[in-house]
Order: sequence, then C-alpha cells, then structure tokens
Amino acid sequence: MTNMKKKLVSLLVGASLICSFAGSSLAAGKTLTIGIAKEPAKLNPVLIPSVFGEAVAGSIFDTLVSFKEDASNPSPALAKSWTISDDGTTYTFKLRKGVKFHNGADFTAKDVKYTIEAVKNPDNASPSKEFLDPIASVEIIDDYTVKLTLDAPYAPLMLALGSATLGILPADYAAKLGMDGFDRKPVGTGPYKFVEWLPDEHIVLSKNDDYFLTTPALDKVIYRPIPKPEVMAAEVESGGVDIAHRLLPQDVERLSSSDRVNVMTIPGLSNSYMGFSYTKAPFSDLRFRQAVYHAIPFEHAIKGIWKGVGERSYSWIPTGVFPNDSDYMKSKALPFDPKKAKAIFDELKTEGVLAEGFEFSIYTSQNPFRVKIATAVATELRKYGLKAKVESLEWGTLFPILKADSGCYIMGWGSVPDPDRWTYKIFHTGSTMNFSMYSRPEIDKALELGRTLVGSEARGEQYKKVMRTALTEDYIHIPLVFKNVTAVTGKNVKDFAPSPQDYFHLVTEKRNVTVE
Amino acid sequence: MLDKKLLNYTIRRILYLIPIILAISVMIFAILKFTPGDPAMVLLGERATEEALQLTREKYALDEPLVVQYAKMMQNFFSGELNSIYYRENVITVVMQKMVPTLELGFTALLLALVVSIPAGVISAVKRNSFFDYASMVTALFGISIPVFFTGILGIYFFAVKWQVLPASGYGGSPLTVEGLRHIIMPAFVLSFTLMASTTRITRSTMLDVIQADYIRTARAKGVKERYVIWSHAFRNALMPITTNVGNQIARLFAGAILTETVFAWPGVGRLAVNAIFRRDEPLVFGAVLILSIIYVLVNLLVDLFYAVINPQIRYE
Repeated sequence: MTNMKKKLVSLLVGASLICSFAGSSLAAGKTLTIGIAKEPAKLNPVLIPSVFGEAVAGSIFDTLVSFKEDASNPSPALAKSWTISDDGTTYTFKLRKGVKFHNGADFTAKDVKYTIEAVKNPDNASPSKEFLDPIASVEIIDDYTVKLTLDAPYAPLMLALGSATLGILPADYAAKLGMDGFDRKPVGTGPYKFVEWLPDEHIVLSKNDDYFLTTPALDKVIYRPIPKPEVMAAEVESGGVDIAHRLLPQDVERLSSSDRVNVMTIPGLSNSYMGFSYTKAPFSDLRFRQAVYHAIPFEHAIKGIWKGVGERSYSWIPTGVFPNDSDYMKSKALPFDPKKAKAIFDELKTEGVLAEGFEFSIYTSQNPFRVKIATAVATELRKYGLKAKVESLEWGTLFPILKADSGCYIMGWGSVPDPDRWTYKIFHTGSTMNFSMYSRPEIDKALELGRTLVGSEARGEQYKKVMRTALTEDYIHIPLVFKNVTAVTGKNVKDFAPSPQDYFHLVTEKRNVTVE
Repeated sequence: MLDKKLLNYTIRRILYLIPIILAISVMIFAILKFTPGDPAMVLLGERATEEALQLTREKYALDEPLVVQYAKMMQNFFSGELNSIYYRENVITVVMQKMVPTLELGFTALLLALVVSIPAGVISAVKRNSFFDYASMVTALFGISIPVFFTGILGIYFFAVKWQVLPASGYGGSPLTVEGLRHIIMPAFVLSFTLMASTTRITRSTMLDVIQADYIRTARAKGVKERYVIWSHAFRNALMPITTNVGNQIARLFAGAILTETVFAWPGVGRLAVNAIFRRDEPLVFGAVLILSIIYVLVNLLVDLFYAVINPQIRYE
C-alpha cells in the first residue's frame, strides 16, 4: 500500500511540475493567436465564399486598392494611382513597382489580368464573379499599367476591386497549381506568408520581411477555429487566444468589466431582418405584413435579445453608408399596436384570406439571436390565433427552402459600404438572395440605374426610392437590427481595431498590430 | 486445437463484416441523399449563381442517377480514390490523420477511467456502506447524469479562466509532450467521466455478488490473505461483466468524443464528421462513417476474443 501511495504522490508532483513548467515556457518571437468562429472554407481569393476566408486572406494577399482604413474611400495599395474616364467605362491603374510575391516572383500587370480573368472564368465558379461581370476586358498597357474596360459605368467597381476576394494571385505560380491546388498553398504579396493549414486545428502565417508598406511587427500569426462562443470567451480571458470575436452578449458584458482584456465595439456591416413572401398567400397580402409589424413589440424584443451587440434598424442601408435616409425610414416604421393588429387579422379572416388557426413556419438559420427573435414573434402571433412555429435549420438545408419561397423567414446579410451591395441581390427580380420573390419593375429599374450612376446625388435617389417602396409601402421586410462588431483582445495586443466587416486588419497604411 | 477454432471463429467474424459494411454503406448513402439541401449550394455559399452551381454539380457528379453515384462512391472508396470535397484529399487519409488525436483522447480517457473506477468500485464493494462507498456512488451518479458540454464548460471556467493552469481548448500535439499533455488533461477527463461512473457502478455491484459466493468464504476460511482473496479470487471472476461493459462503452467513448471535440476545439474524427455533415462533404461523410463502422465492428470482435483470455472456459464455435 505504501508503495502505491508513493507512486501516486510522485505522479501528482510530476503533473504539477509539468503544469507550472509549461505555464512559464516562452514562445519564440512575437506570435499573435486569433480565434475565429468558423474555419475558412477557402483561402484562394477566387474561390472564397464568405467572410471567414476573407478575414484570413486579407493578411496573405493585397488588392489593387484598399478600404481597410476608410471603408468608403479607396486608398492606394498594389495600385499607386488610377484614372477613371469621364464616361466611367475605362479605369487605368498605375501599379506599384518592386513588389514581390512570397515565392519571389515580381508583381506586374500580368498578375492583375490573370486574377480578374480567373474570377470571370465560369469554369472556376467564383462566388465573386458577378461583381466583376461589368468588366469587358483587361488590357496590359505595360508591365506596370493596366486598363479595365467596362460595358457600362458600374459604381461599385472600386469596392469589388478592394475586396479581399480580389487579392492578386501570382499568375505563373497559380496557373501551375490550378485553382484548387493554389487554395491549399496560397501565395500573395501581403504582410504575412502562408505556412500551414491543418483543418479544424489552425492556419499559420509568418512574417513577410519584404512587405512593401512596412516590416510587419509580428513573427507569426495563428488562426484557430473555435466553434463554441463560450469557449472562445474563456480562451481570450485565459490568454489562449489574443483576439476573439463573435461572442455571446452575456460574455461581452462579463468581459467588459474584466481587467485581463480590452473590449472594442463598433457599428458593423451586417443585419438581421424578417421577410415575407410577395407571392404566397396570406404573406402576399400587404395587410397581413402590416398586421405582423403591429403585433410584435419589436423595439422591446430586440433590446432584450441583442443586449447592446446590435442596434435597431429601419432600413437595409446601414446608417453610415450613402445615401442616408434613416430619419424618413424610421418615421415610417409601424408602431406596436395590438388592437390594430387584431383588427387587421380579423378583417383578413372574414375575407377568407387568413384561415382561423393558420399554421406556418418561420424559417431561420441557427444564429442564436435570430432563433430567439423568431421564437418571440411566433409566441406573440399565437395570441392572434396564428399557429406559427420556428424552424431553425443549418445553412445547407435552409438555403434551398428559402430559394423555393418559404413564406416567412428571418435572415441576415453582410456586405461592403455601397448601397448596391445592400439592395441589388435582395430586391431585384430573380436575384439570388431575393427570398421574398419580390418583383416590381420600377424597383428593378432603379437598381439597374443605381449601378451606372457613378458618385452622384441621382444615384442616392435610386436607393432611397428602392428602400421607401419596398420597406415603407410594401413592408416586404421588417428590418430588425444592424449588428455591432465586437472584438475582445488581450491587454498585450497593441494597435488593433475591429473592422466593420469583422476582418482582422493586421498591417495597413496606419497600423501594424503587435503583441507585447 | 483451441487456436484453430479461435482462428476459424475470427475468420468467420471478419467475413461477416462484408454484408455488414454493404448494409451500412447503403444506409449512409440513403441518409445522405435524403438529407435536404444541395451540396453545391453549401460549397459555394450565398453568393453562388445558378451557372456556378450547375458547374459544381457536374464537377462532383451530383446530378447523376443515385445508383450510379452509389456505385462510384463504393468503387472509389475501396480503390482509395474517394476524395473529400472540402479537404481535396483521399477520405481515408483525412480520417486516419484525424484519428490520431481522437485515439489519443479516447485512450487517455479510457486509461483515466479504468485507473480511477476499478479501484473505486472494488473498494466500495469491500467497504460497503462506508463513507467512501457513498461518496463514490454519489459522484458516479453525477458522472452518469451530467452531459459532457456542461462538465466541459465548467472545467474550462475553473481550470483555464479562474486558476489559469490549463489551456481552455485546442490540440497541443502528442500527449507525450508537455504541451500535448496540458491540452489533453481536461478533455480526456471530461470524456472519461461517464465511463468512469458506469464502470465504478458495475465493478461495485459485480464485486458485491462475487464476494458473497461460497468459494470466497472457503478461501477466507482457508486463511488466504484478504488482499489476495479480493484481487485474485473475487476480482478475477468479476472481470467478465466489467469487460463487457467497458467494451460497449468504448464505442460510446467515440460517440461522446463528438461533443467533447466540439467543446474543446479538438481536431479529431468526431468534429471532422460533424463538420463534414454541415459542409455537405458527401464523400467524406460516407468515408468517415464507413471507417468508423468498421472500427466499431472490429472493436467488438476484439472484446469477444478478449473473453477467452480472461476466461479459458469460453469456447468459440
């Protein structure tokens, strides 16, 4: 027995020694560990389908122009200057000289042409293809000059060129590896070089000493996918990761009073909204949509659910994005008025539009906020004799249902600060994200016109018209919130600021994130 | 003679694998195809155009007749050419890579469970109704009832956030290294909790039965030392039901690993399978489930064979 005791004691001592030893071990060089809520699906900009890939690719690749510091105005990046012809159909870019890819190749006009054409090539099935559709041709004038010719003026072009999905690829290397091969061994011009990607474990980048803007301050950047937000909060609090995002409101609240971390919140560029079908009864009846709007105390519900991580919205176009029409949109939002709601529902029932005890589903993603608001809506509607239930589905199942006209749903959207990106895909007849099957010729016309009017007051008018018609006449959607972006960092992280799109900008013309 | 019989039995059991695997493969394939959702849509995300979707469907042969798709999948799997859509690598390679962390986690958990639960069960039985007995049974009750994600989060809160002695999540490499060990302690302990609890309870109740048997009284009457009575006479006979339970629980260990791996961001097969389902990576789901099924059947076979080692009376016909 004493023998066993001895063994046990030595085991315990050993274990505690290991713990204390490992706790004090120092990593070589400056390493920044970023927790990401979901692993990127792709790192090849041409193939990136969502924000997580963009967040990582943003440090490996550079774009022609950059919106990293000013989300509304382009600043020079790989292009040092540019001219736009008066009719808005020719863009000429002068490229920066002396820039090298991570594999040592020189960056020239050939790479720009290759990248744009790779996105446009239907065989690559690039999710960003449609943003470049207006580009008719890419011409190499000389090694450091590129000319883009458009079919028609296209206002959001610069934003498309500045998006992380248009990071410039090294033409020869990418052609040799193919699009899929390049995805696993990406090479760019960015501040950090790709080292390794172990799926579900981490993505590692290392310092690019030859970066053209400045010498990056970190030696190593590690992105760790952490699927559980509670665990992400624990990781940043315990120093396991240096930067965390997409945390739960209760964790943000708790961490705000912690002296171990910094909590930074800024208005974001993503929303949540409730949508109705434009073609399927009873949702297609304007009065039904208005009655739902009156029936639910949205103001209250949103405050309770988003608890400071989101602001109530009245329009699709975020407040900071041109054109600002918030005051008008807010004035036309329908107030919580249960009496009025009941009167309308009764009227619809007598007319036979709405059956007594009508059963329907509110479809939504697995986003916990959306599930909560959907549950609140369903519960409230039961008071009016509508049997609504919530169906929270994962994306692969949900998307086809939404595409096939679900009737009623709660979804969201996130994009860059240009009104076109916030409207065209959602309100134009037959667009991919037009889950309401909304279709009005005058709206389509305004959306098409809005694309071609570059930087003018008249352009703003088009989008005001779209928003006013769709949301304050047709009430096809009920806007719910614009979500804030909250990043939590360890006290050791210096010079970091969250971005409205929830990216992690590590090196820009103004900042060079580091750890102490 | 016995060896030959054992060999025959083993061969027969392995041959049974063929119809089992066929049946499982048809089932997985059917479930995959009946699951709503379009793999191409998941792959390309919300920005996909109709044109791109069609191209993707063609690329991964998603628009061919189901029988053709099934035949292709089986053929590719067994010829080692079935590639994951997401990883763009052979599914067997992908699963085997992720199997390493899962096995490390599983075996550490198993080891932890056995080291704690067998002595605890035996002592509880020998010192029945003592404080130790009550304490271990109450703990075991908690172990069986509390779900992994709760103990997991609780552990993370205390060990990572409050006392800062262990990392909150992630994989630190081989558990034979310091970092690896630090990372594996919490998930392994959490994962072992259920197995620990059920093994303690089974050990205790079987030992109680055995201790009251006549031959134990005889052994004691002969003056055999108490420790020898308990471990050599009683425990040896109690080992059968304990082995059965542990064998069955090993499979549950893998199932529990799915939750544990998600909570602790552990890069294992469980998380791989769950992610593959969400990513609609059909070849990978197919391959992963098939490989896991084969392993499950083999583990059961090993447990059956192990019976012969602990009880020579067992015959394999």
